[in-house]
Amino acid sequence: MGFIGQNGAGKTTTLHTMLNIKKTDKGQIKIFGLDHAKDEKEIKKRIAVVFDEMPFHDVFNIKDISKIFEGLYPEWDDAQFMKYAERFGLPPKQKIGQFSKGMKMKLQIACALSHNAELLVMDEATAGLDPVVRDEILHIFMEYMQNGERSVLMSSHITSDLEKIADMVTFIDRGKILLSGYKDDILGSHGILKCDKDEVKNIDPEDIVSIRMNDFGAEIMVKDRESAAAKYRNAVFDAAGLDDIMVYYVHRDEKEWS
Amino acid sequence: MQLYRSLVYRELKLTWKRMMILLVLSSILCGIILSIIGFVMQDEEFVEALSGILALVTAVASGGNNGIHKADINAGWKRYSYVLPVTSSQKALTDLMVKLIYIALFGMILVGTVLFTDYISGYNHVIYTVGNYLLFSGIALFLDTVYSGILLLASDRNSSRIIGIIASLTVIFLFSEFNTQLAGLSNKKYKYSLEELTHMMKTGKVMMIILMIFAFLCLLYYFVIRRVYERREA
Repeated sequence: MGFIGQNGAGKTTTLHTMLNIKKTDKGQIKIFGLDHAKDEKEIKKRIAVVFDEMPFHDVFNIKDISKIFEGLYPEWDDAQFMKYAERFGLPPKQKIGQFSKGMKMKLQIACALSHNAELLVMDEATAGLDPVVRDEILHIFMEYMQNGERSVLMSSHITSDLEKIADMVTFIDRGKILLSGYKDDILGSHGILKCDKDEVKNIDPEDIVSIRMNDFGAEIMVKDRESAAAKYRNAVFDAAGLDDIMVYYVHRDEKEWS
Repeated sequence: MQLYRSLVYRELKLTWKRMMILLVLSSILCGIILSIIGFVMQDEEFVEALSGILALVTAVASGGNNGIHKADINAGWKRYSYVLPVTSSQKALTDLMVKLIYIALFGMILVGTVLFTDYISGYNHVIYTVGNYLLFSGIALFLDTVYSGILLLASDRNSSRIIGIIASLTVIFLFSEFNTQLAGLSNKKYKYSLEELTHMMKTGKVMMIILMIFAFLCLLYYFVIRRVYERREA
């Protein structure tokens, strides 16, 4: 599940609340059917979390991390951890403080993948990494999910990453869910209708998410591309990416923007 | 058990350098005191005073702040620890265990030193020094409870600076308040109290009371730190 939204939309707050880092004002959160606060320990044995910033002290090395984590998780697999460390090219005796940003992120991911977690939660984990490292990491996530019993909840504003690996997408803005569903359904249903500025009045407002005006005309995000194509036979439709959907939905209150 | 081993290992690994520096400084002081006692071993009051100072210095070093909480906040571990299957009680108990490990380690060195001075001087100060050590450790532990209790309200590196200053100022205020209260006693009364206290410190009853106070302060540390770990960001 990809969790998208612009900066400040509430992605991190949602994840932190879910993980009981932040307290809730009201409502209830259930993970694996368990209460997120009452059954916190049980839930946390079954999940793994990767933050955008490295939480380990610079003085530790890989071996120290392994010693620390083996006591924390009953299902910690030391051989698996060492295998990931080797695969990621993380020197076992070098101090973490000397690692690059990419190496630090890989270390966090290696820890997250080594205790057989059913749910991997990632908060902007690929932000700030170069495309090569990002691609490598996404590939590892795909491998991890292959057995069908594991899930990844990945918050990101790099939608290209989510287009590569997410089956489902949830889009939030100002703390509210605007869209949630299968990525292919969302991408398939939305479209960008291109027309002249004076043709905009002919489009049913019910079909419109928002309209981007430019010197050449108007680009209208429609919620149901198929039905819009049937209604407006002469119009030109472009496919919408997650980025487009996010941008048009963010401007949904303005309706027309440029 | 393995959980505590991991948690204690982590904290010892992070604090041992700082504590070893304090241990070396304390040992140097022990050495200096040993050599002084070697010269003036006939004066029991003087030996007592030196043993008291030695107990005070080692107690402040072992029972005081070991830097773990600030390091955890700055590294981001404090926030990360909330996503681990570790309860607030387990984290607080680990903090207390690490404290007690250092108190025991420093205490053993202190007792070794005192046994040696007793052997040279012919006096017996072990119970007196241990009593003093536990009492001062307890006070240092209490001040650290206040400091850490406030410091742990910080969630990241930025807030830890401001909250760290507030925590330090609170501890300084408490300490100066304690000194003011002590200075408020008249000189005569103070001297009488000190003499009486020194005499009392050698009795088994007082030792028991000190042990109880120490145990109470350990429990207080545990409950305060646990309560702070239980707190979640708004």
